[in-house]
Amino acid sequence: MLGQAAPAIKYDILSFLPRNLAWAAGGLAFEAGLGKLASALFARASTAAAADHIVLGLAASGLEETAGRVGGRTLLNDVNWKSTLQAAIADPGTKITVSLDGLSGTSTWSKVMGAAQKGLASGASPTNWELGQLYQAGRLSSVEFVEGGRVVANPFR
Amino acid sequence: MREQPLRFERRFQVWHYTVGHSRLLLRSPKTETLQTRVDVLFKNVAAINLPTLMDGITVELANEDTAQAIAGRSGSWSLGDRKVFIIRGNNYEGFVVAGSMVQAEDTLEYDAPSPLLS
Repeated sequence: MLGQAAPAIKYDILSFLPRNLAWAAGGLAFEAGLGKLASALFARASTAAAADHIVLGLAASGLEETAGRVGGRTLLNDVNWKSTLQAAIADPGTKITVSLDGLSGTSTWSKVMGAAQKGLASGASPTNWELGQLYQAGRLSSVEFVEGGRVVANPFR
Repeated sequence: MREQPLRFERRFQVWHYTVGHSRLLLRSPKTETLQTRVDVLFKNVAAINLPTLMDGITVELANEDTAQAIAGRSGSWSLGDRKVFIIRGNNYEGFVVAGSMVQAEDTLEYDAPSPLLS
C-alpha cells in the first residue's frame, strides 16, 4: 500500500492471455495502492521476454490473423498492455511488428505518423497510443510494417 | 487458471464499451450502503449478451459444450484465444466472449475514470 492517502484498489485478474505466455497459466490476485506501486507490479508481471514478438494494429482489421502469420502475439488480451508495450520498446531484443491494415493514410509514413500524432494526445485510442509510444521512443526504425499480409518498406530507417 | 467464480451481490451496469482493444466495462458504483466502487473490465471482447442493468453478478468460465455453442454466435470474430464468460445475476443470464477479464475495487466516485482503462 502507498499509504492512507492513496485509494485502495484490489485487482483480481482472471486473464486468459496468449498461450505462449508462461505466466498466464494461473490467476493473479494482488492488492496495491494506485500509482507507482501498481505500475511497478504491472511492469514486473508483464515484462516482455527476450524473444518476444509483439504485433500491433487494429483488431477489426485482422490483427490476430496477422499476428498468427508473422509468429507474434497481440496485446489485445493483456490487461497490462501499456506497461507490456513500454517494456517491449525498451528491450531491443523484442521484435515489434505493426499492421497498417485499417489505418488512415495514403502511405506507410502518413498512416504511422497520423496515428502517432493522435496517440500523443490525451484520450488516445490504444493503437494510436502504441504508435505514439514507438515514435516518441525512436523505435519506429526497428519496427517491421506489414500490410495486406506482406512486409512493406520501413520509411523510418 | 482461477477456479472460483467472481461474485458480487450488488447492482452493476454496462458502463462503457470502446472499440480500442474491444474493452467492455461493467461498473457497480458506490451507494449509501456500499462504500466501494467495483469495475469489471473485459478485454478483446468479441460478443456481448447482457442486460444493461444487473442485480448481482457472478462471472465464470463456460464449460466446453456451452463455450462451443456460444462461440458460434460471435459474429465476424474468430474465437482465437478468447474464452466464454457466463454472467449470471438475480434475474438474468448472459455471456461475454473476451480474451481476458480483470476487476478492481476502489473508493472513487461513480464518474471517475476507471483505473482499468488508463
